[in-house]
Amino acid sequence: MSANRQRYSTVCRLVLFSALLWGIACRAQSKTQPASGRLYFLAATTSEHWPQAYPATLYAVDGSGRLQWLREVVSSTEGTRFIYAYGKTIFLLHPHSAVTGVTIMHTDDPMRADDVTFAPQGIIPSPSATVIVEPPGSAEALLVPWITNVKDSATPPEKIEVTSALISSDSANSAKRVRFNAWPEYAYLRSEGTGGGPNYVPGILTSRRNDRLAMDVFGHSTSLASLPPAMEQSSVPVVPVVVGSSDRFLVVVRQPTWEEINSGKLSSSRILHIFDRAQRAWTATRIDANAPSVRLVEPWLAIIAGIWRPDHKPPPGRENEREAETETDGPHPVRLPPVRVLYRSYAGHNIFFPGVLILRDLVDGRKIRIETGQEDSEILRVENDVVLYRVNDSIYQARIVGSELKDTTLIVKDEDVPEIHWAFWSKAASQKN
Amino acid sequence: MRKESCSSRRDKRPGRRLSYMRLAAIMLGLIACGTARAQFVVQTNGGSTVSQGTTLSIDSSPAMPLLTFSVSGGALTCDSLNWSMDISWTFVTGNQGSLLERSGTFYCNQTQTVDWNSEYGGGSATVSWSDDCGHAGNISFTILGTNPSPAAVDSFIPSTPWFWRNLLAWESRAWSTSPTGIYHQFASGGTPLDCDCPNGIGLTQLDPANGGTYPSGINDFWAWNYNEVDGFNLLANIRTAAYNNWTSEWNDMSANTGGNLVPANWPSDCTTHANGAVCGGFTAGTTLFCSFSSANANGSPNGFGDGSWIHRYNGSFFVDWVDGTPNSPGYWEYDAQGPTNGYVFNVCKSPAI
Repeated sequence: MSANRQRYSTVCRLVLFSALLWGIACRAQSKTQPASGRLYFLAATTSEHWPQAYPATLYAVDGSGRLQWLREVVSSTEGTRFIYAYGKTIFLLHPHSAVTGVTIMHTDDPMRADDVTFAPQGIIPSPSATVIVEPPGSAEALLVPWITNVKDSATPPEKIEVTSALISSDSANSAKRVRFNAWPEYAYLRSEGTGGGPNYVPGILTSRRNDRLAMDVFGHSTSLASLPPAMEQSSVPVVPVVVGSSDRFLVVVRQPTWEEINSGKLSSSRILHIFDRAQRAWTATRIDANAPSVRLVEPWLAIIAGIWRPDHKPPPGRENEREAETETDGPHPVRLPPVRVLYRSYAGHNIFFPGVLILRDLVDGRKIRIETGQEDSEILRVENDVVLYRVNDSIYQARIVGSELKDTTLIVKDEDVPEIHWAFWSKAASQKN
Repeated sequence: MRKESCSSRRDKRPGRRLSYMRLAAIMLGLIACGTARAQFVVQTNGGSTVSQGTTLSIDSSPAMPLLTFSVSGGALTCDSLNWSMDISWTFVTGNQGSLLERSGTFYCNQTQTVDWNSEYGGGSATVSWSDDCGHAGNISFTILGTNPSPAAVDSFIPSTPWFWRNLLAWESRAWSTSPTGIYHQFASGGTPLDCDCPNGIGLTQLDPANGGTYPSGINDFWAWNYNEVDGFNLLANIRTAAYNNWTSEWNDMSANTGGNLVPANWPSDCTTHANGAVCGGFTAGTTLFCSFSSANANGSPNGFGDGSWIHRYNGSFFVDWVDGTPNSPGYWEYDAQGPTNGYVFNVCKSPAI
């Protein structure tokens, strides 16, 4: 072969090889990118029982790895009682003491303010029966029931009277924004489950009715699915609790009884019952923690390991949690709660969080374990094999490769990060910086 | 015309007249200041002399010690004297707790009594003085407090609400600080009872408001009557929030249990662990002066509204319904909120004096 032909051949091989490498790199990069758009965080601490109220705040990340304040979603005067998230919507019930309305965060347009007053008299919503529903062909809605005639503990009424409000996230038709007593909509229950943070998150309590899993709310019964096989013939009283519900999956656990808890013989693990609507079948999976917090970010279960420990053993990392209430500096001061006190009073009162986060893929069965060693840690989001997780005042991003996490990177560290329990990417057109 | 003599003219010059006047002034000054140095004298009740390092007391009524200033030698030593006094007390952390300042001027041939103007202050006192003869000095002494009698405290404010004296006994460490059996405005050393510096001062363990101020300022540190009134007013202002909270928690339980009401009873729920009740800071077998039941309405001494009213004095509330979660059924939780557990338990175990 002539020298020129040899050189030409070598150049061609190099070009082809480079093209091949570039193609691989592009493919890898596209797998690491989440849904394109800007990353947003919602920081909020609910205060159902706490006398102080705290704001809900929307943030992004600035170029220096700090939080960039975008807007106040709920004021610190009102505070929030409960927060529910699913799909493209986050519902914030407020004020924290007696609810009059809901603020709706649209994740595809997070800067848009959307507030609906549905109970101007102020109500106590049923915490275990307030759920997001997604009726076919409709946007997500929040279904809120409450008792209308219980006032004084000394004089309970003969008959409990109830009503419910269904508040749609679709703001296009304001006339149909709120409907009352839409009980059958429980059939379309959706739930992302429980995030992290120091507060109790009420469970969605269901029941066994006519061999079906049913939502029984003040006498209004709605069938959800068949019963998990383990609950069909159980001789132990069964209270199924929905910990996640999506288009494809329904995740249920059995609530332990007080006899089991007080016996000191509670199992060290917990069984999650998973209904695959596509397969129309129940499966069961065991978690090595008997008091977990479960979040459904389909197809992943994002779990905070918890262990029932009423002896109040100090958990790891509690000393790193904010002890006293404070306020951020800058042009938009934000009131921040005493995280350590709240953990001690609420979520961490009887449950020991060792700082272990677990990811379970409900489709292919992959398991990933993240050891943070800190009580105040949680998985915020999983999207396209990118996971965001929080440890105290820091948020990390990592890539899921098989059953491992790689390329873990700190993306934000700031004073108000401990209040962040919701994260999402958005390609919102209107972004006010 | 006869010319005046120089001497005559010299005699008439203003400078010469002034020099005479100056000499007279100096002579008078010498006579006034004299060769004796002014002795600043401080006397207190009964004519006792206060010297360097003396300890005086705010009595239990309360009344500040009488302080009278004079100058020994009087007008022979000086014409007038200026004085200023600082009385300061610091927390154990080194931060300033209270500061009282006074100042005045009096003629050396008179006396001056300090006007406390209804202010009470104790701690380390220093009086600095200077006279018009160029003499100066200072004297340092200590002023400490005296605890009131239980009868005085009890008669000063009515015994309502029913738990006021139990709360006062707990807050003022009546049964845990020597001498026991009295309400303590002051610790044994005569300084304000400072149990959680800088929070918690005196009889009612007052906390500073935002900005670090106390309702009656320095008087909340050194005058038990001001402290008791301010603590009582604080308690009165939080009743509504406490009653509303109980109503809210009861409604929350009702909503969470689908109307299957779970009664609340304290302390019996803590003894029997009824319905999974969780109790903070509770010790079984303790004699208690309170009990609460959901069968009693707000306003009843045995209603949970009053239980939360007690707890609210220390922050947060007494009882909350913990919603059922995936990990446990719902349950009543007592005395477990806020920075410390068992506040209501502690108040309810403290006998009134």
